[in-house]
Amino acid sequence: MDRAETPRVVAFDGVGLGYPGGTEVLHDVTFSLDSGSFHFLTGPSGAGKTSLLRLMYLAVRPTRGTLTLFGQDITRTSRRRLPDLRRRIGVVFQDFRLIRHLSAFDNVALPLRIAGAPDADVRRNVCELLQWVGLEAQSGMAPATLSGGQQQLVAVARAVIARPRLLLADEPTGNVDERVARRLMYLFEELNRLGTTVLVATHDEGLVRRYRHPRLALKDGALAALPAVRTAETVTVPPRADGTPLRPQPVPG
Amino acid sequence: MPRRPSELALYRDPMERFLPWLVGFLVYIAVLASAAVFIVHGVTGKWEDGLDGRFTVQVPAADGIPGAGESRLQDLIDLIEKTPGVRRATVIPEDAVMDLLRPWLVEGVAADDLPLPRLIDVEVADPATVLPILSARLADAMPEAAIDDHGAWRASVRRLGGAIEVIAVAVVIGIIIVTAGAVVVTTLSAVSIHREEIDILHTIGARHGYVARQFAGRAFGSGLASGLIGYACAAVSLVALYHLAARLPGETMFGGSLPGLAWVILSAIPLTVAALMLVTTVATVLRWLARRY
Repeated sequence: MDRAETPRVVAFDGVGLGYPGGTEVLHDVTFSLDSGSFHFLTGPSGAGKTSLLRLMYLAVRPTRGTLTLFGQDITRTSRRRLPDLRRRIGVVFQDFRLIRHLSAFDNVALPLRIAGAPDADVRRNVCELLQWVGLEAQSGMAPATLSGGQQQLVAVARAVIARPRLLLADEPTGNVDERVARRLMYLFEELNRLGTTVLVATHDEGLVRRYRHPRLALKDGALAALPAVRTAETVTVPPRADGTPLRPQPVPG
Repeated sequence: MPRRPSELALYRDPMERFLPWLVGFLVYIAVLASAAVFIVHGVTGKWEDGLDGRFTVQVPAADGIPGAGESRLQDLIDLIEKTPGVRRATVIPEDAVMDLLRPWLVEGVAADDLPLPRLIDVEVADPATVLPILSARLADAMPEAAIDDHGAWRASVRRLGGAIEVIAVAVVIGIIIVTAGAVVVTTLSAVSIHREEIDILHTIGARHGYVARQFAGRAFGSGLASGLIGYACAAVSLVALYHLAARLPGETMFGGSLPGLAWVILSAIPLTVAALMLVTTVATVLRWLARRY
C-alpha cells in the first residue's frame, strides 16, 4: 500500500503492553502519526518511551489494543510478515548497537544485505550514505576505533540506508556531544523533508525546545499530552468525546 | 569488493574450538564401528559359505580298536557317493584329525592310542534334499554313524556375528545422539553469546532463516572438516590393522580387506555427520528464535 493510501504511518488504539510476570508498562495509548511527520517523544525515565518504541519497531506486540503500522494491524499480522515490515522501519539507539567485529561499511551495509541487494548496489549506497554522514574516510574502521559521535552517525546511516518510511530514534543524542547532536538532528530533519516519518524519543528538554516539532509526552506509561509544542510548554488536549484517536496537531501561531 | 564478513563472529566462540575435536573423534569411532560391521559380516558370511553344502559323517572306532574297520569305511563311502545329490565323499586322514586335537593332548600321544572316530567330509548339491535321504540310508546301514551338519557351530557364529553387528550399530547410534547433543549445547551457547547481534539483525529485518544460515554454514563446514580428519585417521588405523593381521598365521577376522562398496559407505560418514550437524544446528537456532521472537 503506498503512502497516498496510508496517510497514517502509525496508529495506536487503546494499546497496552505488559511483560510476562510484570505489571503493565503502557496503558491505553492512543495516537497516530501521519506520513512525513516529525515528533518528539518525551517523558521521564521509566515513563515507557523505550517500550513504546519497541512496539513500533516490532520487538514486542501489544498485550491489548490495536497497533497499526503502514495500514496493517500488527496484532493480526503473522510472524512471517513482520521482517518485511521491519525493513520499512529504521531504528537508532542511544548505545548505537553496531556489530563490533564489522567495519563501519559492513555495519551500514547490513540492511541491504539482509534484503538481498546485489553487491554493486550495496557498495554504491553505502558509500553514498557514509559520505552523507561525513564518514567516508572511516569506512573500513571498526566501531571500537570510532568516537561515540561517529558510531552514532554510522548507526544513523545504517538506519536509513534502506530508505525507511519510519525512523525511530531512542535517545539518539544521549551519548554524543552537542556538535554531533546538532548534526544528527540536521540529518533527521533532512530525511523528514524527503518524506520519512520521524519519531525521536528524548528527555532532553533543550533539544525539544530548539526544534519546532510536535511532542508526544508519556508519563507512567500513559500518553499525558498529545498535541505539539514549539517551545518548552506542552499543550494538553483532553481526549475526544467520540473516542476517536487523538492526533498531534501543530500549535496555532 | 572485499570478502563479505559473517555478521556473527562464531569462530570466536570457546565451544566452537572444542566441537571439531569431539566430532573428529566421534567420526573416527563411527568409521571403526561401521568397518567392524562390514568385516564381521564378510568373515562370518565367508565361513558360512565355506560350510554351505558340506557336512561331516562321524564313524565311531570299530570295537574300540583304533584303525579297525577300513572295509566298513569304504562301504560307507560307496553308500554315500551313490546317494543322489552327493558330489563327493572324502575320508579325513587320521593325521589331520590328530592335528585338530593336538593342542588338547599331552605330548607323545599317537592316533593309535586314542579311539578316534573316522570322519568323512561330504559335499552335496542341495543339503535340504540330500540330508534326509542320506540320514535314512545311514541309519539302515550303520546306525552308530552320526551326521554333523555344523548347525550348532554355524548358529554360534551367526550369534557372535549378530552380537558384534548389534554392538557396532549401537555405537554408531550412540555417536549420532552424542553428536546431536553436543551440537545442540554448542549452538545454544553460541546463540546466547551472540544474542545482541541477533537482536540487531532481527530489528533490521532479518528473517529467522537468514540468522540460521549463518550458524548452518559454520556447522556444516566445521563438521565436514573435522569429520574428514576423523575418517582419514580411521582409514589409516584400518589399513594398519589389516597389515598387522596379515602377518598372523591362518585366517583371521582381517583375512580379507574391506570391499570397495564398504569404503564408499564409510567415506559417506563424514558427510552424513556434517549434514546431521547442519540439520541439528538449524533446528536448534530456529527453535530458539521462534521462542524469543
